[in-house]
This record gives sequence, structure tokens and C-alpha cells, in this order.
Amino acid sequence: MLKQPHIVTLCSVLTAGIVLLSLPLRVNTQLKWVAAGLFLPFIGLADVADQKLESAQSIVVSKQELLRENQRLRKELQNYKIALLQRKTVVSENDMLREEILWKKRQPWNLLPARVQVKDPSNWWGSLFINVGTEDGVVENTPVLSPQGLVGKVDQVGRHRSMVRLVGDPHCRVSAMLAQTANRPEAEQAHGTIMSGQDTQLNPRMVSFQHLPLNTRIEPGAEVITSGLGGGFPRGIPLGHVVDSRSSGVGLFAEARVRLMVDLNRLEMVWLVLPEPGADRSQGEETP
Amino acid sequence: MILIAMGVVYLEARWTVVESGWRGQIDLLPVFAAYAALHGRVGVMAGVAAIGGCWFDVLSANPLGTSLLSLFLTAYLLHGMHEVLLKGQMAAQFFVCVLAGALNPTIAGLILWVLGTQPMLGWGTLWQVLINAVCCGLAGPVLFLILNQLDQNLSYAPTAKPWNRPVVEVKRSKHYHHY
Repeated sequence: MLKQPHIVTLCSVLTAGIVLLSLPLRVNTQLKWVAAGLFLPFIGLADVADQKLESAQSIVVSKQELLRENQRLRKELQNYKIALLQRKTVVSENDMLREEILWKKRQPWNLLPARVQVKDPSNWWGSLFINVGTEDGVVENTPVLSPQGLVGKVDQVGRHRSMVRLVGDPHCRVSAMLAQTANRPEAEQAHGTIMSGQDTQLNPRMVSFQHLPLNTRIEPGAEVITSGLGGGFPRGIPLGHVVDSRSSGVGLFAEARVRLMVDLNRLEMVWLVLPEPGADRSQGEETP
Repeated sequence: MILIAMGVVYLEARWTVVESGWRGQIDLLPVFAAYAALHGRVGVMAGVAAIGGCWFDVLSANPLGTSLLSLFLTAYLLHGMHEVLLKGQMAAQFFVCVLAGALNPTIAGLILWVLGTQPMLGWGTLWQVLINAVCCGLAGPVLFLILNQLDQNLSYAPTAKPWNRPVVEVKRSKHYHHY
């Protein structure tokens, strides 16, 4: 038999839970940021512990090893500088040609680095938290990248933290296409949507490339990049490689399994593509 | 106990290497709910569910309140066993934690599905629930041991009353003879 205080506790906890869940999603999200504010000392404490751990690791590393690493990084930087010089010539040539045919000038990316704080501890979502927010100029739907390719988009923004929905999460769909190669002319660049598939749940690196035209030639290993359609993500960001393909259930479209280039479980740093002041991303970059 | 639970949840969110290996994220929060339930404290059950659950939801994309409800319902269902179970036995602790590890994600998944938030549910969920249940079962006895020790060391222990000692209470009659 339940005692009276037990019944009171039971009723209050159940009521609190039901009331919280029945709130509109926007209000619930705002309440969640308030709750996160209450836990801020713990988050700060954990961040400090992480930094201390990193600095403790640096004590163990020998000076010789650091010098070797420094030399390697210098060489890498020089290589990138030379590659950038070559790219600059191509970009200026491209800009000149765009101007001649009255196309809109390509906007350079305004990148903001961010550190990954935590990854979603539940199995229901593919998301992570980063240490930048509205104070750093982050807005909702900002694309998030890593040097390997697309990571996802910013879904919720707090003052100093933001939540990123990863590629493969049901709430992060990406317009994509097969990359142009020597074997695949521009006319065969099939467009589709990257979304969560049956395999995504057990393997976060595997996503489904859906709504492809039925007659598309999809070879395993073909590169998939963002198409820029819809204006959510800039065109040409690498996503992954096709593993296999088949016709979809109803037979109207083809679909493929894609292995993502980025290992979403081992991310430490990401880059956010912030909108240029005055730029309108919704129009896309490639429109004339 | 709640502080340890919060630390464990934070480590789960930081160490994603386990997830890559086992194809599923491990959540040990149900073990703490099971501990509170078996020790028959409804207030502690509510505390673990409210603070631990909110902390979990803050670190994840769950709507706020999902883990609060799932943890409290898990603890409440297990609370019914606290009088019939030999909670000092490791086997009993293992089975209760397995049950908690399976119940909590099932209830949370059900709540998210009812809310229509489109979580990643599928056949893989069965594997993830199974893995979580086994891991909770294995971690349960160890965490129970730590929590019992903490409970013993940190909680108030009544001191023996000096006037209540049996030596003092012995009464001698006047016919008492010392041999």
C-alpha cells in the first residue's frame, strides 16, 4: 500500500514530466537552455577538467617530439600555401568569367572554429554540442564542416553553446549529388537527398542517398557532394562515397548507401560557415 | 549519488569510442534509478529522475522531460520489488539492473515516438536496448558497492548511548555474593 507522501511525490513527478512534454517544442527548447544554464557550473567544471587533462598530457610529450611535429606542420603549411597560390589564380579567373556572363560573384566562406563539447548520450539522435553561440555570431541552420567534409547544421543556438544536428539525423536532410568526374559528365550528375537510413542507427557513418532518378548510373565508390539546392548548404562540400545502390521500394526512384567521409564519433574540432554580413544564403551561391 | 550519476552521464557523452565499437550508446543512469528504487526511497527516486534526467536531456537532443519520465517510471516499476528482493545479493542486483537498463530506453523511445519527434527507431533499437541492459547489469553490482560504501560513510550513523550499555544495566541484589 502506498503512503501519502509517496502518492504526492509520484503525482508531482508525473505531472511535471507530462507538463514539460506537452509544451510547444520552441518553449520546451527555451526551457532546456534555461536548465542548461542551471547546470553551467558542471559544464564549466567538466571543461576545465578536460583542459587540465590536455595540459597534463603536454607535460609528458618530449621536446624532441614537439620539434619534429613542428617541422612536419611547417612543411604541411608550406604545401598548403603553394596550393593556395595556384587556387587563387583559378578563383580570380573564375570570378572574371562570372563577371563577363553577369553571374553573381562567389562569396568566400567566413569560417568560425569551434570545439566539440559533448556528443548526444542517447541512441535516438545524431547530435553534438559545440562551444560557440549567438555571442559568436552563430545562427540556426549554419552549416558545420570538418576538413574531411560536411558534419551537419546548427539546430539550436544558446549564448555560448549550440547544438549541431549531424548528417544522418532524421532532422538533418542534405541536398546532394554525384560529383562530376571524367567518366561522369555534368549532365549525369544525379541529384537526391541524404537522410537517415536503416543502417544509420547502428553505424553513424552510413547514410541513405534517396530520391535519385531511376536510370542513374551509380557505381560503388562514386563521390557524393552537396548540391547547394535549397540554399541550406554551399555547393561542393564532400559528403561520402557510394557503397551500393538499389531501386527503392515503390520502384519510382533509386537509392544508394553512402559511407560518410567524416567519422562523426571522433570529432574534436569543427568549422562553422557563417553567413557574410548582408549575404542571403537562401538564394544559393550558384544562381546567376 | 546524484553527483556521481551526473559525472557518469557526462563521461558517456564524452567517450564516444564505446559507441563506435558496440554500435550503441551505453547509458548507466538506470542503475542509479534502480539503486534508489531498491533502497525504498521515493524522494531519492524523484531526485535522481529529476536532476539526472534533466542533465541527460540537456546534453542530448531529447525534449526536456523525456528522461525524467522514463527514469521515474523505471524506478517506480522496480520499487515494487524492493521488499521481496535480496538486494545484497550480486545476482539480484545484476537482474534488477538488466531490467532497469532495458526498461528505461524502451519507455524513453515510446515517449519520443508518441510525441512524434521522429527518433531513430528501427530493428537496431533492439540491439541497442539489449547491449544497454547487459552493460547496466554488469556495471550494476560495482556501482551498488560504491554507492553502499558512500551511503555508509556519508550518512548519519546514530552513536551508542552510554547509559544504555549492558554493563551499566546489570542490577545486583542485596543477596549478591562475590565469589
